[in-house]
Formats: sequence, C-alpha cells, structure tokens
Amino acid sequence: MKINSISWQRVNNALHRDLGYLCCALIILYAISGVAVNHVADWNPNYSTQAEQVSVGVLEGLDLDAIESHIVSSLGLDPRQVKGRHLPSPGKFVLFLPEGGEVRVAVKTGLGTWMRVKRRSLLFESNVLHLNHLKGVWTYIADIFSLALIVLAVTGLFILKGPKGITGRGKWLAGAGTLLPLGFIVYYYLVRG
Amino acid sequence: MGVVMMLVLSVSLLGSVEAAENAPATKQAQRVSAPKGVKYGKGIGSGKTVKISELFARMDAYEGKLVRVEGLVVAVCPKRGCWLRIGSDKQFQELQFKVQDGQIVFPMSAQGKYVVAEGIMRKVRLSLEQTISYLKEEAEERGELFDESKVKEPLVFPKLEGIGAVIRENK
Repeated sequence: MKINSISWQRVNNALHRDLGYLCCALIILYAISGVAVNHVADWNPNYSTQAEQVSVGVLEGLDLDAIESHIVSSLGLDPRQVKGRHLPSPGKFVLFLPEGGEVRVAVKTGLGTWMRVKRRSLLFESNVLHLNHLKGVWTYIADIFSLALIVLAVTGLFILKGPKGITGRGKWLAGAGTLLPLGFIVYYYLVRG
Repeated sequence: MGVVMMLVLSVSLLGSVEAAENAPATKQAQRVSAPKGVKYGKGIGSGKTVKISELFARMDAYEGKLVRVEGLVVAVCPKRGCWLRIGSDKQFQELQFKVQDGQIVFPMSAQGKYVVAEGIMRKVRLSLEQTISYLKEEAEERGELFDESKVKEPLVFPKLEGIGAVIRENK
C-alpha cells in the first residue's frame, strides 16, 4: 500500500495543532507549578505566611482557659475562630486558628508570634494538579495528558519539510535538546560517580 | 473543537479540586466502623489504638508494630505536607507522623484539627550531633531562638511511619 505523504503531513499538522489547543492551559499550569515546586527549598509554593510579633501581657498564674481568653481578647480574635490549643513545652502556649494560622506565646512574658497563613491562589490549585494530590480520576487524566505531550513533541518534529524541517536545521536543534539532559545524566552518574 | 475541549478540561479541573476536599469524607462516612472525616492515604485499618504517651513510655514494646493514635494536629510540614505532629494525651509530648513525600500530602489547614492516624511505630535514636541539628531545624521552622549548649543528651523518641489518616474538625 502506498502511503500518501501529503495526507500524512496534514494529519500530523492537524494533530499537533488541535492537541496544542487542547493542552495549552494545562501545559502553562504545569510549567508555572514546575518552577514553583522546583524552588521548594527557598519558599513555600502553596502557602504564604505572615508573622507578626505580638505582646499579650503576662499570662503566668492563669489557667489554660483564662490564657486562651486573654489571648483572644488581646488580639481581637473571634473566639469561634479558635480551633484548639497546645502546650509544646513548659512555658509555651499555642492557639490554633483557621487555615494553619497560630498564635504562639511565652507564658512568662506574653511575647510571641501571630502567624497568618494564606493559600497562594491559583498556584496552590496548580500544584495540586501537577503533583497529583487528587489521585483517583486525575491520575488517568494526567496520564492521557502525558501521552498527548509525547504526541505533541513527535508531531512537532515533522511539521515542516525542507531546510527548516527535521532533515535540515531541525535535526541539530533536536539533537541539542537531547544532549542537554543526556549530558547532565552522564556527568552526574558516570563522570562524578 | 479545541476551545470546547479546553472548557471541558477546565470544568473537570475545577471539579477535581473540589472533589479533593469533599469526596474522601463522603466515602469515609459510608463505612460504618471507620472514623468520620477526610481520608488521607489508606485511611484507617486494623491498627490497635494506643495512647501517644504509651508509645513514648514503651517504645521498645511497640517498635515495628502497626498502631493507631488520635490527637490534635499541632503542626504540619509547611512545604511538602509530608508530616504531621500529633499532640499527646500528656503535656509537652508530640508524636511525628511521617508519610512518604508525595504519597500523602497534608494541607496546612489540618493544623488545629483532630486526626486519627495509623502507621508503623519506629524508635528514632539520634546521636548528640543529630539531636542538635534536629532541634535547631525545628527551632528555625518555628522562628525560635536555639541554644545548642543546652542540649546535653541525644534524643530517643517514637515516630510513626504513616500509612493513612482521617482528619476532622473536632474530636
């Protein structure tokens, strides 16, 4: 059977175009999330925190309920926001607030830190998807997305013919793109040991 | 066609994020014997319920065993959500519940909630040098000052290798 090269070219280009449209949003989302979680050692990609030094007055001699009430009134908190309390070590008192926030004070001095925690909008959701925290159905959607990326990459190689195509300068660029990760692997695992 | 598919994808994306918060709780509620709340990992299985103070007191007896503990979530790994600290029934005790990175991810909003957690008990024995480094890192995470000259003895403490957990608002 003779394969019609023009129709194959059309199918290839159409596949690349439509998959590109389809995957565009997720590619951008995953790329942004990728940068964010790549630097997890330097920052928190999911939450922003704001720490404020506070002074609520001396709490020594008060019982736990009184300490809690005192902190709540001193900082103007809504008592319904308080989710719990904890004594991590002698002389330390922690009050838990919504979304991971907390007030942590020294009972003796009343000095401490009020930590407010806020989700990073969009980034949090992007990371949830990118790192597949959802599991379940999303695992299969992500698998299909990965396959689509492979198809995008392969069809991308054959979009153009001639000197700018894969037989022309395309082969050098594709080769360079392959050598970059390959070079790192060879250096880190074979040269350095 | 691409635009339509993208819309479908966006809707499923938003739906999935919502589902992450709600779906596990619904599933968990359907089981009669399982604790109510949002399920993480494998949830709760057949582990024997043990008080956290008991784990601290009898580390050798429980080492390597599957146990279930309960308590207030007093801290969450802020960056990867890969561990929880559970407040003990005894003052000034916290049990670390460590899960494999990426397998289970606890949100920071879990802090202050109530957890029922199950895992394998491990007795952690640190050298003096490791103890200093461990306590220093903890103090830095909490923004507290740390004086390493006060650390005189190496730490030995229990830790749970987490298998699953159920987190809910209250006890």
